[in-house]
Amino acid sequence: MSLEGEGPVPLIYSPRSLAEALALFVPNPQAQLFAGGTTWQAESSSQALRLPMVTISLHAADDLRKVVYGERFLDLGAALSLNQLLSVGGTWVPPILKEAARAIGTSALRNLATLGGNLAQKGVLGDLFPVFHLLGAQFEIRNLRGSRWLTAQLAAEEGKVSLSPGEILTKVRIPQEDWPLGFYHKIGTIRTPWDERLAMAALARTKNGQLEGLRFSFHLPHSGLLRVRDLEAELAGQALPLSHKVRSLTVNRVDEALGLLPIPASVFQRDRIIHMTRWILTRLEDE
Amino acid sequence: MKLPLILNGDDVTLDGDPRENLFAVLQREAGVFVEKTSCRKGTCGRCHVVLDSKEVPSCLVPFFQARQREVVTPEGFRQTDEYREFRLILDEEGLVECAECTDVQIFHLFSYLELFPLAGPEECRQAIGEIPCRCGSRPVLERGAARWLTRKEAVRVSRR
Repeated sequence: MSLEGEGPVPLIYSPRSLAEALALFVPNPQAQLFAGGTTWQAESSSQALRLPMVTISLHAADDLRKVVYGERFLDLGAALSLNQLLSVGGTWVPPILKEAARAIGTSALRNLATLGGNLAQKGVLGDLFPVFHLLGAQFEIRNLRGSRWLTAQLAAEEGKVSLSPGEILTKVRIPQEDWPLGFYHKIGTIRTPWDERLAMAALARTKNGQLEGLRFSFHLPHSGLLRVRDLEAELAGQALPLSHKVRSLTVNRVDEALGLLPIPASVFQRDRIIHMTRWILTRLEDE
Repeated sequence: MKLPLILNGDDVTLDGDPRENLFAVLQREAGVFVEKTSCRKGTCGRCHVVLDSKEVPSCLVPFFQARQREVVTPEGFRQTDEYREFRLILDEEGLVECAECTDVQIFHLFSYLELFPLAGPEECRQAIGEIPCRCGSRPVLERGAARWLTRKEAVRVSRR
């Protein structure tokens, strides 16, 4: 059976491994990848998906769902569903990453939605970017000739992990670092207008009444990532609780950085970012 | 395109376009989800099925991905002992059945517990809250879930 008015039935492949998937690009260089598909269907106006003429569905490629723990890195397969990420036991997966994944959709949706899907689509979701950015993550992209690595920072600047024809996002590599404090907050859902959506992530380390390290960033769907590294460096080593002066300066610096965004933040986003910056600083004192 | 799959324990072959969503094919070919509509965003919960032990919104699953996989619908889950036992608890808690969401909520809760067996009452409360509900039965479901967890824990302890 085929649907009327939807054109010819596309060719759909369901490879069982990454190698099989990559090999399919040889006879089908223009083939497009299909992972969880949550955005494809949600954006479709009919009961039918608008699939390209050749589609490579990654749902059966088990090696793209591997979780590998190493001494220095944690590798997460790009086709890992968000719930599979949440089900990883132990302390290997940074709690802030789990918190960010938990904030996406419903439990049923998270069984479909994949890490790769969240990263490879500009602005649509991208809730995980601020977290990966702070964690210093890298993304492995492979084609038949080899692999390349993309830093979360570069991907964040572009708003997504961009893939050339024949490439597959295979894994996310996270360095093993100790960040005892992590905060994540998200405003808005996929249905919220872009200028009312925002995600915030912060990581911190304190020792003997001092702020040993602090990283924080905000992700605005249309403007990209906001992170003030100079400010983070200046705050490291400050005594806790932070003085009123330091807190005011921090808020002012974030406000200044907001003015430098290529696409300005909305009034709502600016207000929330300032509020959340104050909130992070207050939470540090609580800890 | 005819695809073999296991639907509520039975081997079936369903005919559909690979681009259709699973919800549309199940509704037309298998007679499930009759008189139900789906939001096609994966948020309303009315079209949820369990696909290979994982709950998914069938409106977001393309039909081609269902090949040779096991699908359980809320209709199928209603035949299980777990469902009947939980319904007894809910009846004791004073549930007024809602045709729109009671079974959807129960199906969702049990699928969640299947995936996260160590979930506590707070996580169950959050899971119940994921399904839009206008009938006001959430508190009853939350109390029922808490009792169910207590019962499961008692069974677990008695087996040690």
